[in-house]
Amino acid sequence: MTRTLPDYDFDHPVFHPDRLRLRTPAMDRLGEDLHRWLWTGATGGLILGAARAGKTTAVRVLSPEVHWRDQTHVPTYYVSIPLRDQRTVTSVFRHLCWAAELRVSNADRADHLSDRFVHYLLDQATVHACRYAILIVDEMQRLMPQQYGAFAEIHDRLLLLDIRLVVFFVGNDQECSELLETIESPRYAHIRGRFFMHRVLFRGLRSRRDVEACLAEYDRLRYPAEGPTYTEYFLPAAYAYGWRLTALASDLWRAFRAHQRAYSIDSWGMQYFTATANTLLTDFLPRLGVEEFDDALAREGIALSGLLPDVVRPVR
Amino acid sequence: MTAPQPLFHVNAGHAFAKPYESYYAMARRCLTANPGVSWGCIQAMLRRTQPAASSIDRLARIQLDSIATPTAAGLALRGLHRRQCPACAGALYHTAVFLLPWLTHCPVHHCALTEHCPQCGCRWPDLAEMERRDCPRCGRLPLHRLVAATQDVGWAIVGEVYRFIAGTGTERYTLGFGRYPFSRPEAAPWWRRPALDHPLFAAFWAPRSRLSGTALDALHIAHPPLQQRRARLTVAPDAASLPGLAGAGQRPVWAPDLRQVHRVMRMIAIWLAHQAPGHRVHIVNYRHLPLAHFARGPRPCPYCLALSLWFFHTVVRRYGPYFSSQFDDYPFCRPLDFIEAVEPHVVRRDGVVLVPDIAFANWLYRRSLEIRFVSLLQAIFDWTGQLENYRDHRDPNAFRAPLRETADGTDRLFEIAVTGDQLTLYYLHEHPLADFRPSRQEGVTARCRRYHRYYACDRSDVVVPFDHEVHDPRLPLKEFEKLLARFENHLCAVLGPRVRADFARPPGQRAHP
Repeated sequence: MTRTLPDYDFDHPVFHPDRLRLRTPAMDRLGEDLHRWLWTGATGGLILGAARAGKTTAVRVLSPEVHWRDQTHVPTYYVSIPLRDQRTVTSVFRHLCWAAELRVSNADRADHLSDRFVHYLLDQATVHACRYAILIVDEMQRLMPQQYGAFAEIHDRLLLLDIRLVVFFVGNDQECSELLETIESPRYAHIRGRFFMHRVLFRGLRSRRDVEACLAEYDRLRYPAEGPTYTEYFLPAAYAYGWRLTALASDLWRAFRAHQRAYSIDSWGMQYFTATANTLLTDFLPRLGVEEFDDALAREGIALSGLLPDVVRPVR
Repeated sequence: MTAPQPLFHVNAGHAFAKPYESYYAMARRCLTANPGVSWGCIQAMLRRTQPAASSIDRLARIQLDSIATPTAAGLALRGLHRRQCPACAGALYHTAVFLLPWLTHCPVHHCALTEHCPQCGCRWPDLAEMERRDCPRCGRLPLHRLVAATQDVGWAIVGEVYRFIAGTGTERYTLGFGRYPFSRPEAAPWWRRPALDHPLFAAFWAPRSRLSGTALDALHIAHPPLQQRRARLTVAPDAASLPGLAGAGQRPVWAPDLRQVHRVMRMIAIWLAHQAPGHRVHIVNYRHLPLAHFARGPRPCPYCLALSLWFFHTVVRRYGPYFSSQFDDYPFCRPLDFIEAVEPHVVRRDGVVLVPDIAFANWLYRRSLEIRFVSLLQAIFDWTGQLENYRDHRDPNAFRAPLRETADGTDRLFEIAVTGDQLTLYYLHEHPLADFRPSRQEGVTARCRRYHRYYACDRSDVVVPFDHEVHDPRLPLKEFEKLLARFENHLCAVLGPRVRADFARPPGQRAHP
């Protein structure tokens, strides 16, 4: 039995990849790394990874889960650095205040903006009864080396007030290489020592087991909370027979491996994987039936996800 | 309708919150936690999210529940900043009890409460001024100075002061005179309990507090020692017969005990002789003298004037309220209407009326007479000052303030405690007159003579003059009786033969009750 499109609830997370929160093995590994850094007294760390690997989603999913050794929640703050013509320390403070919804005006001095954000973190630390705070700075490759001084300043000021700030920088590894080389120079030793001593490479899906774990999320997650699982919603008949989306793991991984070998792809970025899985779940399988799934359909799904245009460059 | 979304987040400065802090402290830490943002801007933001609330509520609602603190009930919120502890100010702390004059030092830091910032020398700023202050103690504190503000140095001790104010619970007894219970506002000019912001509040409140004297000293609560007088209480045999508890609309029928009046008057006469040696006191009837009489003649003697008003007011009550109202009406000042501290009684919460022994009642009456004289004398000094001002400048506004008893005397303050059948009355001075220090009166004896010569000549407005010179400052009983007899004759002369006939009747059958 196949469904017609109008039957679907188009608010379903599968139709909105930005709302889809799949728990991946890479995410779990990153969570372990973050907690290890936090618990061992690190003042910061680098989370690098390929574009569209799922770094931002991973840190956003992990943010509410970060806790101290005694299981108390550690408040986490997220700021994404935009690309601007003026790349100054003041602009960093301004972005931080904007992210915290603090008042920002053109007349504000860097001192005021910095103190305002420090007071904000101090307030939140008191509200959460936790003397730790985590600041996640996304798109770090857009920062100039001297702009990292802003984070060092906030870190030091909070330390005066007995609040320990841990700053995790998230960036695209290819775009960060030049910046990281610059930071290596003795001039930025105070930055490197504070924030860049710990690094982790965030990768997409790298094995059949990773793919299986992600597909298992479609079999587990429900929408609405008490409703059917994602797989059950789109493939009710097959689900009733005991078929699960994880059954496609081997075929999908085989199809991806073909592309991986051909184009030397490091890992399967989560954006492309979810696009492939969502297309299969919402379009191909309901129309054709799960028994019709084969390698060709898997390749078609990967092709539609946009993976190939990303890794293949036109030859001039 | 939902509240509008805030335009921006306002930091509350939660990390600097401390117990028992005032609205001023809350606002100050809020201001400090939002550097570069004006107080007006913060208020506008809070107003936007909570349009219906008051300024204090708006600020209180963004505080954490766990550290929400009580405000000092009964204390004016305006001007809270005027008195502060310099050390607390450096830690962004202020509590409303700092405003209380009986708290001499900060209970936390043990340093004197001041009205000026010791660092910049300026007065402590209000919130509008604060954002313009650069002082690291009284302005917005810079971040590096806030470390002290986050540390707990025992702020909870301030709670002891609040608990002291809260007292030991509900009041079980009310003390009254005649028909006036102490708690009634009519009685306030005479006897009263000190208000919370009175410098002697703590002294009178201390007997009701569970805190010992040492504990009060440790909190820097000024509690000068009080005098006390005990009385044995008995249940009034017929409560309805007490003047104060008689039916509504009935005036109390009461005559002064002239023996007590004589004792007090003798004390006053001796005190006057000590103040102005050689001065002869004249008891004069000023009842028909207009203001012009004083304005165009020599300066009146304040001692004679005060004692005369006191004598006439006190003694005339012997003849009933009709004569009191007649004789308390002076053309040069407002009618004198004093509440008599007579026939004291204690009303228990359950309505039972208890009366103290007669010795206590007499002592209380003598004390009230003494206080009245002190108060009148002070008022006469003020009035003669106004008179001088009028003479010198012909200022038509010189007498804007009428002659009345001053109500700021500390001798009228009291507190009672009832234990079993014993009443204890606490008060400040044993003899208000002995502790009264009037301003120095130059040449008062000559002035008095001059005035009395003038008074003897200028009697055009006086229907029946009355001028009795007290020859012996010790005022023996015979002289007092002579004075009383003369006064009664005067009364008859003034009010006519009808009154003389009325006096011949027994008190219950008189036409003028």
